[in-house]
Amino acid sequence: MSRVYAGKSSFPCIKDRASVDSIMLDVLVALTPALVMGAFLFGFRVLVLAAISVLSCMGFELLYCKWTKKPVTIRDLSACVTGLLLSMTLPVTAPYWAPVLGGAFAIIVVKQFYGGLGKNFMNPALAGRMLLLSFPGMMTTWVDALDRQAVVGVDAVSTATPMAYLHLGKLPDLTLSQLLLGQHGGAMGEVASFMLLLGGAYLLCRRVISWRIPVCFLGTVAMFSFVFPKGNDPLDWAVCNLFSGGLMLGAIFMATDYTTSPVTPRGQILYGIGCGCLTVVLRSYGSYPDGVGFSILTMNCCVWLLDRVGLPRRFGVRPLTETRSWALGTLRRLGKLRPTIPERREKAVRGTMPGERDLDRIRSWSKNAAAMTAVIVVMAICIGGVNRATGRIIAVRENREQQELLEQVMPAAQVVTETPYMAEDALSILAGYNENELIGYCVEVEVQGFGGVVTMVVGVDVNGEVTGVTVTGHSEHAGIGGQALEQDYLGQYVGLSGTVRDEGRNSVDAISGATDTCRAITAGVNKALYIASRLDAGEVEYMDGQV
Amino acid sequence: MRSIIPQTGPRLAVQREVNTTMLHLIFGGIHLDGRKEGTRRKPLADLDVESEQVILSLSEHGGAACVPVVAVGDIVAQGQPVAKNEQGVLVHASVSGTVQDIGQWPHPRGGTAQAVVIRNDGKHTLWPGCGQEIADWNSLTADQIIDRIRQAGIVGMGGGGYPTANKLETNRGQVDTLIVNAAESEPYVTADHRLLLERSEGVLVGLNLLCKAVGATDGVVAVESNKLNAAEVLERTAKRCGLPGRVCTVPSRYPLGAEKQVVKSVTGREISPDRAAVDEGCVVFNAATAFAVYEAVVKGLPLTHRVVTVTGGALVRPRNLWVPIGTPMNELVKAAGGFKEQPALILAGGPMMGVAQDDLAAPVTKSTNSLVCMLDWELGEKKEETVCIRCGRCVSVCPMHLMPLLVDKELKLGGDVRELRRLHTQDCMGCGCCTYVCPSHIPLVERMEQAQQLVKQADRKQVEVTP
Repeated sequence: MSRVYAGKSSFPCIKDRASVDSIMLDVLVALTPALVMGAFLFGFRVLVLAAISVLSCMGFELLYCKWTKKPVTIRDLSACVTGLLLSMTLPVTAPYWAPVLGGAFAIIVVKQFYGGLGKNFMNPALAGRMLLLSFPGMMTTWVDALDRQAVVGVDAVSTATPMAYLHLGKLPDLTLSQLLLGQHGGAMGEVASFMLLLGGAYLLCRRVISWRIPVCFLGTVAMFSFVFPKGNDPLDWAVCNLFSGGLMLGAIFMATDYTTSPVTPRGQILYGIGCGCLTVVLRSYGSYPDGVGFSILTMNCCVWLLDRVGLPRRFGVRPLTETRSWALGTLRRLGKLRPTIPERREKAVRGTMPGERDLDRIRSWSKNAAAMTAVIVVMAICIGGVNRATGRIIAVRENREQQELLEQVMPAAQVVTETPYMAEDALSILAGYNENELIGYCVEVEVQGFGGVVTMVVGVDVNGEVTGVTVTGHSEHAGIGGQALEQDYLGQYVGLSGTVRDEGRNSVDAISGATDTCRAITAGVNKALYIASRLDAGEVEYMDGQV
Repeated sequence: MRSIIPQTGPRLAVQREVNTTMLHLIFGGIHLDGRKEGTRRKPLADLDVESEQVILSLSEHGGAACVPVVAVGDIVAQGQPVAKNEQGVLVHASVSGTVQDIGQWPHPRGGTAQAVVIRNDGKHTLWPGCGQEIADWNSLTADQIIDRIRQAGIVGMGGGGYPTANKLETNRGQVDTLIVNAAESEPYVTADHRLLLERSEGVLVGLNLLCKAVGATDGVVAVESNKLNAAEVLERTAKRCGLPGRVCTVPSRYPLGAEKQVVKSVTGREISPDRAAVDEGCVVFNAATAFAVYEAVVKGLPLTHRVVTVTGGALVRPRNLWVPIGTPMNELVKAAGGFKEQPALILAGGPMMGVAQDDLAAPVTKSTNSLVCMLDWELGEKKEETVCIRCGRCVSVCPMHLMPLLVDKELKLGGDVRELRRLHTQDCMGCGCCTYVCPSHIPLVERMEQAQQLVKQADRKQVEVTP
């Protein structure tokens, strides 16, 4: 009965069932609730975009593998995960070419050029998203959840996301359940925090990810926003920071990407904390409202270092033994240092001074040093000259603009100066002088017009009468509201004082068809008159050091 | 042997909890599917039909191979020494009969080894030199115990194969804690479990004898939490017989059977790299060794029989057998009812660290604890190795705190020895956890072995260069 059975076999001969494709499938499953919620909130277009993104990522992977004659690796589903993650960071209004471009960059440049799965140092999906951020108009046009018209309509109405409020230091006007369920503007896969949390719980249960990175990431963000609430209620501020923007998607799905996160437990903890700190800093001081993507990409570049730092303690070696031995060794070596008087090697040679040789050396260096200094000086002069010239041109142009403005707003004044006054609602307050005599103030105010914000400057003399009105910025419709912005109409305000009414006594003739714009301008004039009157009464904040 | 559970009085169904407060948890390890259901309730049984011949392998001990002291044609009795080496290690005949052959024979570790083949006459005549029982074993001195252990030819029966008497002598007076390792964390194997259940008194007496021989004050039996009934039985027996010794229940995680891990989880002491358990005041013996010590010292019987679990999906009737050492594996398969299906793999030892058997003519040795005949579905799908995705699972399961993925990467880059040393590859004990969990199916244990060999070669070169 002695037969030869399965000769050499690799050990251990039983194996865990998990494989790369099963792990990737788990991630896809975990992302599904958030995607479905996104489709519910923003409409069918979400699914179309996701499908385009996934298909293009898998297509690029297939093409690249065929082109370079490498074994085709789309069966491991990693490109599928990349595509889905990429699509989830996009706004629902993104054009259909956006995920294709992002996917091409993610798969070909970020992933395959660096050696494919397991070798890239940056999260491909995030890198693709960051490339698409080069089109800020496209990537920051958000529509409100459940606003189907906006998605279908040609001119989508942009809405402020919770992150925009947070960026200004204000709390968004949302309830906790709205935040959790994603009933607000934002990227299509990022808004539904609760669904993302569900996905995270699934991944934890399936042991696909460990708790370390998400918990440290979210914990750091929560802690910092609790401690520095920018004048809001700490708890509200922390909750809003946690559940808005891309934080949940980033912490649970992006930062935990295997290839671009540390493998050592300690490294993972440090990585999570680093991501959290950077997110808080970028959200507070960055120019984009959200900083999750940038912070993860930055920490991705530190993974090698974190793995070194986080090397597990060797079994049987007490904690910090190596550190201690290193410190002791350094101390011992430092103790061996003895102060010694340096010898003079140069011996006096007859006919030369002892320092002669040094001088020669300095002379030879000086040539190089002189050349370098010359280059630096020339460049400094060039830069300085250009700066001066352009500064002069800019100053002249600004002066001319100011003079033009002055002519329209306060013709009697010869010069305007900035004032140390700050009033609420006024963007700026300038004082107009005629031969050292104060004539009045030019107040720049903002009012809500028909199509958007109207910025205008109103001149008010010391008697409280309007000397001129001009509109410096608006987004009114040229055909309808445009007439109300012409000097023909605006000139009617000259000489009015007190509170200007919309009709009747102390009013101007409104232009038919542009009533809203006219009312807005009247409101702006009233605002300016009110501010100017308070200036004379001395009831304004005096901002020291602002001049 | 008397019944273990007292016949009178109510039987209490006490659910023992795993005492985690006293435990020092190890980092890493994996929770394996035990697959012990096939044999954990099967009592120890003798072979139904005795083997016609036994093959006593002469090279199963650590150290030099034994030299036969009998010649072909000699008539030997059961328990008679048939071979010994200069360190005083003995091999005894496990049956009585005629020496049929002395020659090369397949060995379960792979390859062949010299063996004495005895034709069994079925009479079991005992050799007059053994069988002297000692009723009052408490009065024995340490020297007497060690001497009797040496005469019985006992070696580490958990797989180490190091002569127990030598281990006792070198560790004498240096240890305070003696651990009898009955963790048995390998899947399928239930040999130690059944031994604890049915011969608990013997194991406890063996523990006390070993403690006395080595001068340890604390004797502990480490049992995994999936064998709580064995722990229960041990505690009852200790109480009933008034034997000192405590039972420590450790969680059921795979590499807990390893020496360093069992010391860590029982005492909390970590054995430094390049040092042995004795340096931390601990010594570890296998449960089967403890029972063999009891038989040798108290009953005067040399090591001629041992427990072997014969299991796996390919067998008709998996069971735990009490077999003469040297029984060919064919006979074990026959005793287990033969194959119902063609096995895909036959292993001596568990599926994690066992050795694949080419030839079932190989005999049971002193350290063979199981024969596992696995079917295809039990082995799982064999998949192609793919690239490492840096998931970090190997790092999180390694009980020795190593980083197998970095070792693999380093080897693929060419294997810089300095870097490999920095990764402490020499600490690897080959438990196989990393390969088990790797989702990319990379044979990480093999890579670790390669790395170890590279480091060893470099060390040898250094030694050659330095003088």
